[in-house]
Amino acid sequence: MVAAVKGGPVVLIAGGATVLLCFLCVWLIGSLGGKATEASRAHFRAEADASWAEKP
Amino acid sequence: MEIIEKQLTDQGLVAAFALVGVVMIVAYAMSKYLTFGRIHGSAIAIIIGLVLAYVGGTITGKGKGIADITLFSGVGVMGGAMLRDFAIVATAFEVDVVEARRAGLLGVVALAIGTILPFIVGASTAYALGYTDPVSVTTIGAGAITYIVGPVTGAAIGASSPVIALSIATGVFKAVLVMIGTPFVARLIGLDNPRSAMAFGGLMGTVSGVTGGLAATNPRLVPYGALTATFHTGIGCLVAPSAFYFAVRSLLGA
Repeated sequence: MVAAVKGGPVVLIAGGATVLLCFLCVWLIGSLGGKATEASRAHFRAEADASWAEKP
Repeated sequence: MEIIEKQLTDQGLVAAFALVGVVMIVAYAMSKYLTFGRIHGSAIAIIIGLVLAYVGGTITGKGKGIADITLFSGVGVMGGAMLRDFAIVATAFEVDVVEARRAGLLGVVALAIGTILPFIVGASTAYALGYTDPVSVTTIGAGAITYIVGPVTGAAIGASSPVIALSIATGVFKAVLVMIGTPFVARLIGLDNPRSAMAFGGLMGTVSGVTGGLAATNPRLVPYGALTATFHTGIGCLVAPSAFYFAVRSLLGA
């Protein structure tokens, strides 16, 4: 019980902060990618459209 | 009944596999019907496992969790050093060089940041909140990488059971947050293309969190995220008990 009381904040802060920072990094990498990210997005959309068109 | 009890006791390891199988069935059913796939079955299974360990410890008053109950003594063998190390080696075999090349430089950068950043955050938090010895700091920091890296690191460098439990809890909390949070922030962070999905997989690392989160966002992004995330645990298991531990030890001067 003592370990849980002492460790609870560690779990919440470490887990929460890690996830928030990683989300931020994903956004940063996507933004810094610029043209490459746009090309990937466009290709992915085109693929999705093609697969919709193929469906009967 | 006696025959079943005798068989379960004599064939402890087989009984342990059966128990884990039942837990997995229950966990995946809960994932499917209670959370509609938002929380991955493996994360629920881990929580059930932790609850069972607590119940076992409370009933017997000993320190090995459910393995202290004679009927489930095989769980102790299953969770022991031999099968644990076997599982770690198995993760390394998941690394496919051809697939790794597909992720390219982006995957390498994402994996590097995704391993170092959570460790620094986890270790700093542990230190700030009163865990000052290098073993505990490293183990909790490793838990912030993934919930597998934490216990593997803790076992390798000799951390105490409560600290290992904390590292698992940190990893599970991270995985659950990723699963639940990803669909809500996907649009904000531009998670709508394979490139970002690969960066996301490498950064988050937790395979269950990444696959669950991406499946809830756009199922077609799952293989891209999983591609980089699969390397994460292997790399974490490699560097956390070695390079990271030595770095923490030299910093804390123990």
